[in-house]
This record gives sequence, C-alpha cells and structure tokens, in this order.
Amino acid sequence: MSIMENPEKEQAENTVADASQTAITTSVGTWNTLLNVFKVLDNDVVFRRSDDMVEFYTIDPAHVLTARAKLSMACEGDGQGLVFVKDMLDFVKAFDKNAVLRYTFKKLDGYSCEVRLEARGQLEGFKTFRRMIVMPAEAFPEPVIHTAEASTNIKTLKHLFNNINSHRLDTVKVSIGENALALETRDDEDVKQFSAPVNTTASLDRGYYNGSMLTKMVKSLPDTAITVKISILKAADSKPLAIDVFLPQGYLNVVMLPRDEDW
Amino acid sequence: MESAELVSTSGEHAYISLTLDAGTWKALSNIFKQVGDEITLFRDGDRPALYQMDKGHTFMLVGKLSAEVEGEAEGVVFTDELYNFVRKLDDSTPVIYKFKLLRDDECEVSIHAKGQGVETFRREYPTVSKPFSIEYDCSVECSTNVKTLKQLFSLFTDIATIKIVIDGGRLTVWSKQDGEETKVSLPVKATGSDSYFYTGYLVAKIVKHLPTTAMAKINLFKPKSRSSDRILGITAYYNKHELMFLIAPRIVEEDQRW
Repeated sequence: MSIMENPEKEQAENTVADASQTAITTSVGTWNTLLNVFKVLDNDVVFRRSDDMVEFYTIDPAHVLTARAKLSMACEGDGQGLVFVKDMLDFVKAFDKNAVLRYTFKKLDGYSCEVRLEARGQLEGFKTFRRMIVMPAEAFPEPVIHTAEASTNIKTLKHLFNNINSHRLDTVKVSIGENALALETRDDEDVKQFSAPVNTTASLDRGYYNGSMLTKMVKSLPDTAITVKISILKAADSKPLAIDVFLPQGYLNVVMLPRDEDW
Repeated sequence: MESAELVSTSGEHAYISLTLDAGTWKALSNIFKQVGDEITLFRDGDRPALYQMDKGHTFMLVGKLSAEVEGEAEGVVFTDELYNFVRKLDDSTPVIYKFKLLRDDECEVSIHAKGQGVETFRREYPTVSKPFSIEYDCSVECSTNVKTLKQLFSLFTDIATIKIVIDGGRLTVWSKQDGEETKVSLPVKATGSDSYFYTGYLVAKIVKHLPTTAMAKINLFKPKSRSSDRILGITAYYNKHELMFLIAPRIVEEDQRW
C-alpha cells in the first residue's frame, strides 16, 4: 500500500536527521481537521508523541478556552515541538485533501526553531521558515466530574448553534435538560431559546459561556465527526463546558471556562 | 448564445457591437476589472478583440473573443458599468454591448439585455493605454488547467520575487524571501525548459481571476530586443474565448538571483 493510499498510518519515507527534530506525516485533510479547530484559539500549538498517535494542545491568549487533540499520525524523532497554525494554514490551502504533508520541526537552540513543510500530491513542494519558540501556557486540566452530559451528532450540534449565529452573542446559556440540549441568549428584554433533542444523562445542569467564541468553535468542528458529547463539568467553584469530538483518526476535546452569570 | 446583433443602426456614427451571454460577460468583466476601468475593443478580422495595458505598465491583456462582431469602430468597454449591469442577470441572458462614437471626444454606450432592460450612457472618449509592441519568440510553452494553477499561485500572493521554472515536465514556482523558502511544482506538458523572475503578487492576482473552468497555457517569451529577458505569457481558454496576459519580467540584480 502506498503512502498516498494510507497516509495516516504509513511511515514517512525519510527518517529525521537528528534527535533534535521531529517529523509528523499525515494527509492534508487530517491536518485541516486539526488546524481549523486550533485556529479559533489564535495561538501556536504544542505537540508530543504518544504511542502511535500525536497529542496536540493549546490555550487561547485570554486563557478561556483549551483545545486538545489526539490523532493517529506517523511521527518520528524527538517527539515534541510546536505547530505554527497560521503558517501551516497558508501552505496547506494550496493542496488537495488527499495530498500527504510532512511537518518537520527542528530546535535550533533554546529560543528558535526551523520548520519544513513538505507536501506531495498533484502539486508537490516545500516551504521552510524559522520562528522563535514561544510556548503557550499549559492547558488547564479537564475536571473529571461531569454534572450533565448530552450526546448527539455534529450536524445537530452545528444546526443548533447556527440558530444563534446571527444574534448579538455576548453570553449564551447552555442547558442540558431531559433529552434536550438548549441554548438561550438575552439582549435586553429580547430572550431567544433554541433546543435540539439529544441523548442526555439523568443529571441535568446549565452554564453561561462566551457566545461568540463557543459558536465559532462549534462551527470549526469537523463534519467527519462520528459523535459529539457536550458536558457541563464541575470545577472548584465553576462549571466549565466540555465538547468531546470522536473522529475516525482519534478525538478532539475542547474545554471552555464559564462566565459568572445566573439568569 | 454568442452572436452579434445591432441595437440600432443610425448609420451616422461609427460603432462596434457584439452579443455574449451574461455568464460569459460576467467571467470576462471580472477579469477586465483587474486590468483597468476601460478596455479597448476592436475588430480583428471577423472576431472582436480587445487589449489593455495596466496603469503600472507591468502587464497587458490581449483577448480574442469568439463572437460575431458588427461595426468597424475601435471602441471601449467600460468595465464597471458592464459588470454592474450583467451581475444581476441570469447567465443565459443574451446581452448586447454597443459602443458608438458620437464625436472625436464623445461616445455612447448601450448595454441591452433582451427583455430585461437597457442601460445607455455617454462618456468622454477615454484615453486608453496602447499596448507595448514587442517582437518575441516563444522560448518554452506548457499547459495545465486553471484550477491547479490557482492552487499553485495562491502560495505567492504576498511574495515580491518569484522564479518560474519550466523544466522536466514540471512547472515550478519558487521564492526565497526573508529567510523563508517556498518551492512548489505541478506536472505539465512542456515543450522545453527555461526560467525567469517575476512579481509574485502580480502573477497571483492575474491567475486568481481567471475563469476556473478554463484551460491555461504558460509561455516564456524571448523578446528580440532583449534576448536575456523573458516575458511571461498566461493564456486562458474560456468558451472558445482566448485571453492572454503578457507580464513583464521583474528586475532582479545578478547577485540577488538564485
């Protein structure tokens, strides 16, 4: 089987030259899945190898939103580094989703690195650049206690959030009720509510979140998702929202801190 | 629907007139807008043709349209007015563009969509840049489709200097700027090999606006007067219309080349 036929699992043809560099190889389609979610967070992304998968995480500059991903990708070398999301997006846009893209990260010293993007498809080519290494803050840990959970499919979730897309999105109230996931927005006295039938756990709860950021995040989630789980979590004295997205190549997890409101 | 038709024949004024469907006008005027506000329209044998040089004199559009033409006058296509008129119409609507010379310094244009209205306006006869007249030979030629070409050049929209290389059955675009290097290629049918330097964002802008359904031919032309330079030719074939851009090379000092 050629690398074109199964880019997810196939090892890259070349091995990395030294221990200070890491190469991740997968299809442009899989890279796009990852990059479209992480671009919402507007930060560079940390990666590290984990068995035969690669973990990615970052936190947005305002420290409200954390995204993690664990995807099946061929990875060689040192096994950790940074993904420069904007640079990669600018490069991969030119290639078909079934082209293979190898991302090589090489540490030059403690402060800088060299990156090489190499794509093979109908178009073939590379881009090399150097960047300073600025590590984003550690992603906040996901609390393990879920007070309420709703499972649905990506189409239903996107459709639900599309309803509030055109509204003035300051805060959105997310409620997990009996077999329903509901969103509520308020603009002075103008209250709008939308809900969708979903599978929920017995316990029910609600939380208040940054509406525009949450809507943007849901919109960026891949349509190839198999299932999506929305959870309201229990942290010290707040209720973060978690979105778990299960994909053919792995999973994505997004956690958003709540706003201190109650209505 | 691509046949010539007269809106009216006063018989007193020189005119030029042709009919194309609105979809074709949209695709063409979308390109014309990138070149200038006014494009020269003239008769080349039994076909309408057009040319224009951009204001910076860095590229030129030479087009041959596949439609019958009426009248003998050299006219002007007012690109904004044409685009604004046709953009609201269904693609299949026949649209007649007629340019009439009223006096040496005044012209009248009517744009007529059958059954859907007519727009008529008068203008001062605009000063339109003449094309550069250069004799050149083809150094190398290759062909591909516009969709792939757009993908290729989308990587160079903010790059000043690019090197275009046609060699070994591949068309390669290559840049080295501010410590960053990008080199991307695609397979093409080529007649030989050659390379030269051009302005990346200019070529990318031209390619971006070509009709995606078109096939394209890339040429490097060798001017007879400056045989070391190469003019870049990009020709798109759209519904039997032929649109050729001739793009001046970028001046790059010898020690800055690669």
